[in-house]
Amino acid sequence: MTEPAVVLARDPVRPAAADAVARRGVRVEVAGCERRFGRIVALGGVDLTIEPGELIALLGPSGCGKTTLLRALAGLEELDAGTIRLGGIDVTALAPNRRQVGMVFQAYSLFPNLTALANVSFGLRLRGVASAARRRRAGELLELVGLGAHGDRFPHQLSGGQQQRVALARAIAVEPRVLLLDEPLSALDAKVRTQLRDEIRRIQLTLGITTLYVTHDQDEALSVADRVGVMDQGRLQQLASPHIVYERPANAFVAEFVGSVSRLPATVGPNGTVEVLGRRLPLPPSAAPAAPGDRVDALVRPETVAVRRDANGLGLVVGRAFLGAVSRLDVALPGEVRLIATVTSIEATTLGPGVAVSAEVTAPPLFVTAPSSARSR
Amino acid sequence: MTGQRAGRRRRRRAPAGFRVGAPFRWAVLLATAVYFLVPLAASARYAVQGNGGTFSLGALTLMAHDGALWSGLLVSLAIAAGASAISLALLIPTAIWVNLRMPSFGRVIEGLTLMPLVVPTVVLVLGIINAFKDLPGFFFGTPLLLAVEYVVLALPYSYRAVDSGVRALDLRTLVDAGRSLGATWPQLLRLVLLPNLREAILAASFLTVAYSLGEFVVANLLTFNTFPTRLYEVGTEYADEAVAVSVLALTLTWAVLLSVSVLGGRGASREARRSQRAAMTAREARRLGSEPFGRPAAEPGEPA
Amino acid sequence: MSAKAGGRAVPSPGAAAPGRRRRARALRTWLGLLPFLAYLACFFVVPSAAVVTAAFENGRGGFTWSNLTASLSGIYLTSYGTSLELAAISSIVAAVAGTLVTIAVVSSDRPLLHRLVTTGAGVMANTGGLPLAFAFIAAIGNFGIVTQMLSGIGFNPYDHGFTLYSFTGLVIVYLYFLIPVMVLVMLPAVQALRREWFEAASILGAGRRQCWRLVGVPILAPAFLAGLMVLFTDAFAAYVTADVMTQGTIPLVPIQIGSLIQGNVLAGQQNLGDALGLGMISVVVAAGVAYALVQRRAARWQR
Repeated sequence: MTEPAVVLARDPVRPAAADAVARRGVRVEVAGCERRFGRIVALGGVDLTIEPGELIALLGPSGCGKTTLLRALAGLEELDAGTIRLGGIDVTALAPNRRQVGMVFQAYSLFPNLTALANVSFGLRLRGVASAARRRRAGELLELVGLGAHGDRFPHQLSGGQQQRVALARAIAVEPRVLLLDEPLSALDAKVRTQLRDEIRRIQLTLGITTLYVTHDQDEALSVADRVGVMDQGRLQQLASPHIVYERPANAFVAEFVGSVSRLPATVGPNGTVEVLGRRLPLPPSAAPAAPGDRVDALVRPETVAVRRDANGLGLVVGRAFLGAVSRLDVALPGEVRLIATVTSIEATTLGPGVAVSAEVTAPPLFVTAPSSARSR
Repeated sequence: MTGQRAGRRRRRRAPAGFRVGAPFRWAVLLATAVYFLVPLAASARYAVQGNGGTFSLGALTLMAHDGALWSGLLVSLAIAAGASAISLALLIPTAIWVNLRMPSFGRVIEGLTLMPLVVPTVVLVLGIINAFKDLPGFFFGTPLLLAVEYVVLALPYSYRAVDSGVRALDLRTLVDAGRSLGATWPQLLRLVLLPNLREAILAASFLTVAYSLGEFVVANLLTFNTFPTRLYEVGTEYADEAVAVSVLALTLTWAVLLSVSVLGGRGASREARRSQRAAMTAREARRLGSEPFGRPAAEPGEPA
Repeated sequence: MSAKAGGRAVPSPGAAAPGRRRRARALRTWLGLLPFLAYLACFFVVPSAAVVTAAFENGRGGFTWSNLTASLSGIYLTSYGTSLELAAISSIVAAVAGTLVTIAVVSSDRPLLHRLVTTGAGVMANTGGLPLAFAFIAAIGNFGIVTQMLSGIGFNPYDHGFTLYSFTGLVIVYLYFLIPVMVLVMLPAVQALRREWFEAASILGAGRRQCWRLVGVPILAPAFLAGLMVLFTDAFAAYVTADVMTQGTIPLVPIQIGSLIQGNVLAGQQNLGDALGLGMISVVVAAGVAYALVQRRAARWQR
């Protein structure tokens, strides 16, 4: 993909595939949504538009308001202010059972007294679909999620991953206008998680259903979403395609929440430059106004740091973690500065703990901020 | 800070997964309160009511001078003490043995302890007469018989109390640890197991005591003079006075049962706290796992 | 010992020893249960069996059906009818009321109320017999305080056909110890209802009533049935309360047995009580079997 020239511009990137099959998806418009719990602000004025057939992942730490927003879309949480429109229709005051949305919960949401098949056909039953048609459709959906042979099992006879598949089939059985996924994989093992994640995406693309996917797992968000919304403290901090969020974070929170970064002391130089670890680099365009000579912190991705073995270097390797093709080094620099760098695992063999190194930043930092209080002393 | 925030939000939501209308809820609770409190209030009032609706402790003082009531009370207390002693001597070793040596058999034993519920008490009295009437008088004719049978009748409650206490212990580990340190079985029981089972033992004996003090059917049909049977006789002679004493008896029994449930509640809430802590730790771990380590407290973020 | 057996290197005793030792260990394991089993046998099984055998004996120790025939005729047959009706009505009413109370309590987010009800139910469930009868007599008996208050405002229920010393009165009093039992049985089940089930149902299009009908009720059914079973046996076997309140005016099986024990025996009916006792045991066992059959269907999803 080509890199957009203007970083903060609204990002229209969406896979063409989604457009091609967007049959049923409707546009979701959330405007000015606010919700407080006592003194806690769960939603502090959120605006969000999900295009028809698009999958948006909401990412954020727990308590950031992402789940509240999703539940508000489902009608399970009332709003103090703001409106929600599904396909142009204002549903803000509508009860959950009349919104025609589908939802997959974290876990344990299957009706324990019904078989997998009966769970999937539950919504159809409420819509008065005839018994035979119901069974056929539910059977098809179980096939779609790969559980055709498990229709007569009760939820407690299914594994966690299978339960979530059934929950997904149940949610899409009623052909909802919007699919809401509330951390659907958080209770599963790592392996099942990746597998089901890709499957959810495949099904979502096939059906072309507008989807909001809430998660606290950045890998999950970055890998399935057309666009990722990063939330913190009840506000949407950035909404953009995964690679934009990763490479051009809108602020320090996003930079530090998505992926890993090191915080390095830096000095603003003349002509839009910044000096980090003795190297003069372009000042990141998204930085707050900074005058030459200001002391700042530069946020740097591990893959933009080069580490060399150097007996006279100021850095000292204090940790090394093997991650497969690459390894992660933890380097201590003077002034209690910690630097994380990724190097190829071959290079890493000579860079064990205790080795003196010199480090260099090879690309413009992501972001600069005011120095953190811990080191400004 | 995040944990605290999450905690507050959890508390704001109803603890139940479902919602019912407030009018329904309050109507049900109010009706229940009225139904359960009015008879209590009425008998308390009756107990201290003199002629013409005046306040009087006459009924109570009259009863205090009833010798048969006092001797009945003494008999009842003796029976209660005997029953709970037998009950503990029988149930504690059994519960420990079952949980240690034959845990798969636990359900069966529990089922056996529930058997006394299948045979109505009146019917059991018939059987007692049939089976034991020809035994020598030192057994059939003495309150010892009552104590022995009360152990059986209170079994469904007392065994459960002991068993749940034993189950809450990590019995295997305690026994292995004690044995490896050289304790003999009696030492193990006295120094390790019994002290750890204190609450369960108290609960079981309170339940047996409460049952014994209040039991009327067996005692009456076998023509023993216990506290409840004397109360019944008084009731047929002077109704008001009997109500007065029954209020006293009820208060007494309740005090016993309340202390049991407070004891049980303490254990239960400790259990709840423990599992809550475990859940909290899991949540913390997940939260930490989702965030890059060492991130300083979130700055006021600028919206995108 | 095992070292010696191995040292001899003779295969056959070495192979037999583990089996023998295992058997010895099994025997010792069972011996640990002996005191408990023996006690239960002596003081529960023997008397119960004595009732069953006596039900088929005539006065001279011979076999007869006449006790059973007599126990199923006349006033005794009526007693069975009344007893079953009383147990059925009061247990069903108490089961429904107890479930509603539990739901109301669990749905309120007041921990104090929770605690009060759990403790209260534990206490009330064990309240029966004399004090209970006296309390109700003091409240709504002939000269009860509530009765007096009501007649003070011009409505004496006893002038309108109500009396505490009746079938209806018994049901009212029985509820006092049955409802708390039901609450204790239902509490864990109601607390285990998950928010997700109701939310999922409502998102799939169910209104509040449908949520309960399609999700809440079926999930609570097994606990409800278990509670109903317990209440039924409780109510069926209750003796003292009925005896004190009705003084024998309402024929109930336990009361008939009680009066037979107390010596109101006609000639040739020595073992009639035992026959009635056998009948009561049979009713409880039959209720248990019926319960197991229904439960197998209702709780199919739990296994």
